[in-house]
Amino acid sequence: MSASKQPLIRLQDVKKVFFTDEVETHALAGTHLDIANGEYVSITGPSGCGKSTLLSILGLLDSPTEGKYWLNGKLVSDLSLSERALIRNREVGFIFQSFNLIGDLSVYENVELPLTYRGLSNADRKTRVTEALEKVGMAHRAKHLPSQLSGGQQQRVAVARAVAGQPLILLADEPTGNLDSKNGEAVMDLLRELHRGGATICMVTHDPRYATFADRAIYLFDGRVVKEEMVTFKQDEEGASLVGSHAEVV
Amino acid sequence: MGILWQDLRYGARMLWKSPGFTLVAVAVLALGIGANTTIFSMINGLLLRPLVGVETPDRLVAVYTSDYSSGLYGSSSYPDYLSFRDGANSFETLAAYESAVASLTGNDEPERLRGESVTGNYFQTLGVGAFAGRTLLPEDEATAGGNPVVVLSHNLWQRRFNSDPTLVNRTITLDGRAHTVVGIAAENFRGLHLGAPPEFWLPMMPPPDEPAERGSRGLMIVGRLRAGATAEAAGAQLKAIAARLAQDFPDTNRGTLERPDEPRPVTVTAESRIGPKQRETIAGVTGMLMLMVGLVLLIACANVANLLLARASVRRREIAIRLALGSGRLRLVRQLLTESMCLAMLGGLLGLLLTLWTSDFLPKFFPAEDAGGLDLSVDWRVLAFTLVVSLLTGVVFGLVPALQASRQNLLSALKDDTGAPEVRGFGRFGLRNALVVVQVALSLILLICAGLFMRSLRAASSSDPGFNAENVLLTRMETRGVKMGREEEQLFYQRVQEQVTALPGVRSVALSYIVPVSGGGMRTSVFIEGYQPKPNEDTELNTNIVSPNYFKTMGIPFVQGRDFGAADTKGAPGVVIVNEEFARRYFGGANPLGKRVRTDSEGPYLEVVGVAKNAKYRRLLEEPLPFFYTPLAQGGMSSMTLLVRTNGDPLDVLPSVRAELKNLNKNLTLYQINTLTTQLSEALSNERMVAVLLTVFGVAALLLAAIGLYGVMSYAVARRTHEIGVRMALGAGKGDIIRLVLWQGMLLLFIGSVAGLAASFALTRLMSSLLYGVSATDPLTFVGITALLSVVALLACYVPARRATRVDPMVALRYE
Ligand SMILES: Nc1ncnc2c1ncn2[C@@H]1O[C@H](COP(=O)(O)OP(=O)(O)OP(=O)(O)O)[C@@H](O)[C@H]1O
Ligand SMILES: [Mg+2]
Repeated sequence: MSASKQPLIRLQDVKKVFFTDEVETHALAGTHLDIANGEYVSITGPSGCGKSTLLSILGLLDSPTEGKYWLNGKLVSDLSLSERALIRNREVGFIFQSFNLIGDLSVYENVELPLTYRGLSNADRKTRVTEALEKVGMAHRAKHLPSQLSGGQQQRVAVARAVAGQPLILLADEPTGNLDSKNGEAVMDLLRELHRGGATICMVTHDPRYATFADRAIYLFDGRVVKEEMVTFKQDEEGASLVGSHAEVV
Repeated sequence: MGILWQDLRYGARMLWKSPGFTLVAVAVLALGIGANTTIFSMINGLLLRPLVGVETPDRLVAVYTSDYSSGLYGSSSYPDYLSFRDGANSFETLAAYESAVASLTGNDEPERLRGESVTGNYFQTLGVGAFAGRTLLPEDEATAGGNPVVVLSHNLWQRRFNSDPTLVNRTITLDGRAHTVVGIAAENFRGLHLGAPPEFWLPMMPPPDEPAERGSRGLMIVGRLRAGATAEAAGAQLKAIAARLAQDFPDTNRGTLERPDEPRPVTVTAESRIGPKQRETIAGVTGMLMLMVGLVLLIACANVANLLLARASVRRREIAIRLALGSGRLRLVRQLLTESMCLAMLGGLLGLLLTLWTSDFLPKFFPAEDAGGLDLSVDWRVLAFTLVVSLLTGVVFGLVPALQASRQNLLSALKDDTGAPEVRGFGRFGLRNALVVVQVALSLILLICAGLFMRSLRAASSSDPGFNAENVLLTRMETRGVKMGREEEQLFYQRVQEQVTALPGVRSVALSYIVPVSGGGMRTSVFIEGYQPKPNEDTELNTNIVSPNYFKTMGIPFVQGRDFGAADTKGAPGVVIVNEEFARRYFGGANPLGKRVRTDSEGPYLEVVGVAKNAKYRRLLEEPLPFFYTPLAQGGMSSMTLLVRTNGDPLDVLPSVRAELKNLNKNLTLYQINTLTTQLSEALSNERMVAVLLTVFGVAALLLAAIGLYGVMSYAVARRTHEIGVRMALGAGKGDIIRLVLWQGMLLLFIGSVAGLAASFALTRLMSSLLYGVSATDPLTFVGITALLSVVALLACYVPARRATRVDPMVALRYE
């Protein structure tokens, strides 16, 4: 990983401690991470190792207890709540395991939601929403309510919602966790397509097969990055062979 | 029975287990039920409670006759009383009485007592016995002229005579004459009517047997129905007698304002502490108050129903398990209703405590003279009312949540609590929201009514009485205890005026027979030279007897002419001063000065020498009355009110005024000492009580609605935590979240307000007769109150909205 070019994301010695009932949980214990623009990174690791915590710090949902975080060259680890909300809204797209579409809002309105917080004009919003829905192949369902869609369809709408604002980075926490394998693969295909179109993606996954969809796989253990490997061969179109070569960093 | 017991025990345990919920629900219910019990105890005390201290009060009836214009419930003359007594057999006995005053003199400070002059069968009719000695007997009527006797009240005996056991058969001095005390009346007898209880009873001296006496109507009549007789039958008998009297004595017993050719009406009603005419007014006002507290209770019910709905969603699993275990739906509803009943009963009990407290201070709204003996305490009627209201309340707020809870989907409740994978939003317009809308609407109605009555009170108290009430001391002087002839009396009044005027701090002094805005007055027939009354015209006009300087002291300006002067004496030509309304009505555009009127169709004419501006005479809220004044020097009374206009606080000069009057005559009795401003404010005590009560209820309603709104919004926020987390993850700022929550609250507020305003428009019209100086649809009140409600509602929503912004998206999303 070259450091010559400024990375889109840089985490430096980030620690996250949770205090509950006088028990300290070190969810992240000094994490270093650089992600370049246009990269597709997967994060894997056992349950409770801090994957989601890492992702929420990357997405500015949470701030680190210690350490520094630069997003696109800007130090963002010590921002106020409202500044973080602003960056979240403009620069980050979230995709959750359980879709998190809002039940009262139509597909269209769900995708539009982050744009409304930005104060975009009606016309602007409309083009962006339509574009995003077309990208995920859900334009024909714009007027439906989430409850009228299958899980896979809901996740595609969630992806549309994440990309509609043209964020710097897409963060996905086990986006296939609630889907059967067929639907899961469809969502993974969608992410790969977005990546090919230039999107920077950081995805948490349990599934080793999906980890290899990424350019780089990161292994977390007990709040530390224990292994990083470049995925040199990618699953071919038929999904027949799966070959990787490792380059240990830590 | 076993099942009920089981339900009760289980219900009590469930309530005990969630003390927060129980406490709030019981407090809310106590407020609602307590308000109702309070107003009911008022109705009970004023209208329902039987007479105290008399035997079988349900067989006592009051008999009213009428003069030309006094309406159905007027007082009667002695000859008419005799005709009724001797002509009707529906009564065991029929007695007459009138209020009387007497100055008690002796060793102590002279004191003016209120009492009654009664026919000899009065005590027998009421079934009131003696505490000591005996009560009055028919034969006492004969001795009244020679060796007068008196019965004293137990209270007077205790208060004034230190419960002296040897008082009976001794003499006391009343109005300067020795009276033998033949007995002390039973302790619990406080007279028939509300107000200051009578302190003595004198036998009534039969008036001279003259035809004119039939027209002198000042007696009240009370009768005891014979066993088996009804008030209707008695009424029919008296009606027949009245018809005969109309034939025999057409001058005094025929024709009224409305029906000039019919006999004067006679009416028999159940005897009560408050006269029939006043009962109607009281029933109107208390009915309106009852309606208002009914609204408060409805709000409380909606509030608690909402709490129960919230609890039901917490108890989903428990209820589902019960249903799954085969509990029938009916059984479940019964179980849940038993819980509601427990709550309602606890609320009722606490509400009753509230009433115990209010019954103590509510009578203090009224001047003691009007409300003496007003007993608002809790009796079996109040208890029964509370019980019934509590039970009804329990059903009203408990039934819907119970039905709703028992109807839930068994499967989804048992499966798990998370429900569908999607993020639940605000959802459809549910029952809970409907209940909040109802609360907002009802509290708006209540607040608007309270606002209208407050404004009405403001308008009334700032209305111009036509005189300057500031810095005027009032004290009534009673000369009965002083043996004085008519001329001596006139000289005495003159000296009073001179001496008091000379006191430091005194600007001017006058004497007046009628105290302004005291609720009463004096009326007399007036014949106006050159004025032909219309066939049904009421020619009895209000009048007053005043000394010179009255207008100056009261601050009533003259429009024309002059004040009474030293020259207007008994021997001089008779003079009167009229008010503008009098002049307008009877003299039209002509110059009133020099016109002549008389108060006796045969008597001499009196000349109009002055025209004074209109003022308020009997009540503060009356329409302008035609009014005239006659000079004290041309006909006085044995009790007059001294008016002293002072430079500073009128009560400061009271000691020196009192000393001066005592100095003039030590047997003079002084009473009704007051300032004119207090007198004015007391004139509005009813209005004030209604306005204060309505405001209390309105504020309670507002609080309840705010709590309701707060509860529903908090619940909504809790339900939407996940959604809010998602929105925050997507970049929603604090403002976005606050707007989101407030918008929902404002929607409820808006619907409730529209409904409340519409209902208020319809409802307040009904009470326009109770309002003064403000329209029933006063826009300022409607707008102002709606604004007030909105601000409070906004606050109630803002707190949960703020809480929503503190949702940690991390935590919210972890519970996806
Ligand atoms: N808000 C919190 N409060 C307290 N402890 C927390 C909190 N969030 C995470 N943790 C703890 O931090 C550690 C890391 O949690 P995290 O959710 O990041 O794990 P994860 O790798 O995403 O696991 P999984 O694969 O099960 O989702 C865990 O021990 C977890 O219990
Ligand atoms: Mg996780």
